[in-house]
Amino acid sequence: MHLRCNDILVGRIESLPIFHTPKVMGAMQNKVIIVIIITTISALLLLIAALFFTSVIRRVYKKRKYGKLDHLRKVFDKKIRESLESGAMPGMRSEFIAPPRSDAWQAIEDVLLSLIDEERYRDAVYKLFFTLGYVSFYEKRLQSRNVQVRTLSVDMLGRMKGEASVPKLSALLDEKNSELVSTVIRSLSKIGGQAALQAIVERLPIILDWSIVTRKAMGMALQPFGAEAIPYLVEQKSGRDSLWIMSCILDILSRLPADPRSVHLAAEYLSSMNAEVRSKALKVVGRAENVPAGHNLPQLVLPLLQDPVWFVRLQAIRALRALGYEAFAPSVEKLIFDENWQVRNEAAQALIGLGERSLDIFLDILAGADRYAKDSLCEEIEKTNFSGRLIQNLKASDRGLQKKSRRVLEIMHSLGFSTPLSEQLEQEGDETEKELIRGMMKTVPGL
Amino acid sequence: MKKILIITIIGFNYCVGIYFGVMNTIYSVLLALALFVIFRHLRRIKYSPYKELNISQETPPVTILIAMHNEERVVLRSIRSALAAEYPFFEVLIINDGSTDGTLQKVIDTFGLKKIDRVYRTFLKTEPVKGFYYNLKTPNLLVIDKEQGGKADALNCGINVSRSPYFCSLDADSLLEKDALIRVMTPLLDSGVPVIASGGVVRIINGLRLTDEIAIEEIDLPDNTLLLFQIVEYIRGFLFGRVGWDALRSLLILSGTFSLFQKASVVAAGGFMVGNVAEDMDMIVRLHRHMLKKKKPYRIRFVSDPICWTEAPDDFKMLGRQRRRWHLGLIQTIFQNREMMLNPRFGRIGMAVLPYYVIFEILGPVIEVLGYVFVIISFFMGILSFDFLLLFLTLAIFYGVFLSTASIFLEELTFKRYPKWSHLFKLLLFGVLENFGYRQINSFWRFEALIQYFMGMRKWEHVHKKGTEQTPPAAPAGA
Repeated sequence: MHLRCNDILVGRIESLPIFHTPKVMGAMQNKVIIVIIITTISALLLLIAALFFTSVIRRVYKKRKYGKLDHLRKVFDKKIRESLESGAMPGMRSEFIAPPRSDAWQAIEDVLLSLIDEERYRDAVYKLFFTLGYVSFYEKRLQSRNVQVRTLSVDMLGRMKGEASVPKLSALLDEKNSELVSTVIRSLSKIGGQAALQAIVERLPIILDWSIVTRKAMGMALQPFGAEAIPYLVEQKSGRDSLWIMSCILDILSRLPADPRSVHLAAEYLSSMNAEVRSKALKVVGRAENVPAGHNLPQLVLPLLQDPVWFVRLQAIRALRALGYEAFAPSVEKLIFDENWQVRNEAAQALIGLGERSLDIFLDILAGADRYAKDSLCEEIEKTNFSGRLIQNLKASDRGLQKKSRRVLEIMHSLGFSTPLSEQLEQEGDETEKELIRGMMKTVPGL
Repeated sequence: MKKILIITIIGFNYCVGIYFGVMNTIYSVLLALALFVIFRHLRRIKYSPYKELNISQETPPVTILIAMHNEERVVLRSIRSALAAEYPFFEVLIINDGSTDGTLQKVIDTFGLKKIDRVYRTFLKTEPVKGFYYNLKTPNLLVIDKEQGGKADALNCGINVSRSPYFCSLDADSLLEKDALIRVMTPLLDSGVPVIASGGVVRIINGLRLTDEIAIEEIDLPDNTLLLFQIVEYIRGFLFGRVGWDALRSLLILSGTFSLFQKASVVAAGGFMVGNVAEDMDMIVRLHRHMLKKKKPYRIRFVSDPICWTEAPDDFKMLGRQRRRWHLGLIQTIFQNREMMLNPRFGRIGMAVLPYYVIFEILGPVIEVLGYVFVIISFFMGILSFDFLLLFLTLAIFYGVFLSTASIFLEELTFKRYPKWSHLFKLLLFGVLENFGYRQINSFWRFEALIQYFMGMRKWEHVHKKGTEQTPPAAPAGA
């Protein structure tokens, strides 16, 4: 626990009993000090009383208010649900009209907001929001000078999911407050539909280029649109000159469903000058396993295994794995010796994914002199539980496989990666296998 | 001789008057700022994107680091609450810092962990690692067993193993609320300037009823008087102290119990300082130092809505240990970073915040003790005015009560975690009572820490954790 003494902000010297020399002070000065102290004490006393009574009154008020709100919510929830189910809503609207900000107004708003998430009620609930004046109330508040009031209204309009509010919300995308703009993007995303999507994508280059906050909001906001957003992003012409914006677009595309148009665009940018762009393009390509893109994608990706930037190499391995391209082993083998540990680990995982077909490569690496590469490989073999498969292979009928598996395990043991073997010995099981392991551990000294 | 003594006493009185005035003005400013910021935050929270961030791929992965040393009575609660965090991508690293009780075995048995071999790369130098424990069924939990090196060393070890760009330090006796991690991450994602550290609120777990080890069934206040005083202190410290300093962009402390850090910045600043008994404060000060030296834009934030519950000492012996350690850590940190003091290169931190800590935090208990001495001397010299003394004492106590009441009011405005009427009245009462004895004892411990520092006694005083009734001890050995 590290609440520090300085957290406890008061109490340093308030108990200092040291003002004790008035006899030697001037009488006048003394009086002034006493008056100041008494005035301060009185003011403090008043403030303490005010805070105390405010706390008490606030509790009483809130208890009453929330009690009433809970009751109203229950009442309106029942009534509104019944009306929605029976289709009698138009005739009953007058029953739900309440003065803005009143308890009834808030209770109805809460009930409607909870109902709007149910797809079957969405249109009817929005109509209710509209006719009961909620939409116009919050749209009016979009004009407020207080940015918090505007942001809150934007959020509410987004939660009401009314496409009619899209033009008013879109206009706010040109504002200069990043919090407001982010909320607008999120609200448009909640509303969904072509108009909202178009409004966001039209301003995409500006928003992506403007602030990290709006860029993150954009990344999140486009996901709910799913495949619908892809053509807009792919056909986005403005901002294409900026590699930074292109990297953001590709990043967003990599999170949307796989699509030939995205892959086609990404393939174009695999040879970009910018490493971020290449890496994001690889992310998109890596999702194209079953997408006919009209390219020989593995052939486009393979050269990037030698990219000078580590995260591009990393993405290239991932893309090849995701594409199901199994002939990558010889190229990926070199990356086991990569200077970057993330790349080494990824390469090791990729090779382990190929199973026994990688045993020769493993033996090559493990027989080499690069300790770092050997450790990375052993670690991944153990972590992915491939060591269990190697132990099983000790009894395989295929003599070659048996020999290779044994050699890998021996080297692992010599490097200190003996836990799978020791655990196997501790478990109940085949004594012949255990004997084999014991023999192996005897002949090869462990670390 | 008598004349000189009288002049000294008068001079001291004037100094104390000014000292008292300036200090309380600073507190008042912090309180006003906290009120403003919290009101604003309460409105902003209505449209905060934290719920969306919870499912977003934009949210970066985080590693939760839990350093444990002889914590068998409490550690499971902490691990389970960390694993239950609502966050898109996170891993939990438990660092067993040479426990001599059954802590490690308890964790291994509970989570069915198996020893695995892993390469340990030392970006930050630490004591040797003895082993790693892992279970594929809980893929985001890894236990590291290492030689004892202290909390800072254990955290550095966790940083070496962690593979996320951010890590969150969590004490082994704590309970993280489910949304606390995403809430403490929000300022990092919501800011145009890189936020390199962010901290949340720490509250006292004693008195809580838990349904299982990770969910709060009912919040109640403990019966122990010492704990009640601490609850008022925590509310005051977090809800207006930290919020106020955060508003001034001058945070010097984030609680190591629950704080989030950007790993790259921490590694660049050299990791946690082994040997400093307040590794959390030291880390923040060195982060400031590093970033200001490099002239890089950065922010260190405190957020008032993520909550982590932790156990507080319920007896004087343990509380004294804790408070001495905190003060010792403060002094150590300030002295180790004295290069920053009054150095314009370090901006407001060097020119204002560090001097504030020296004058009002480190020297506070010295002036207080000197005050008592002068009162006694004045009494024997016959120059003590009891009326005046009483008046000054009344002012001091009323100001203390005012700050406590204001903090409880802030709590009422914000989270209202203590919902019963009896809670409100008890907290208000203890906000008054703490001025009579409790504060003086605290000052005494802090004075002791100062003496310890200058005598070279700078050891970590371990505070034993008792655990709650939901986590009965597995073995009688002290946790």
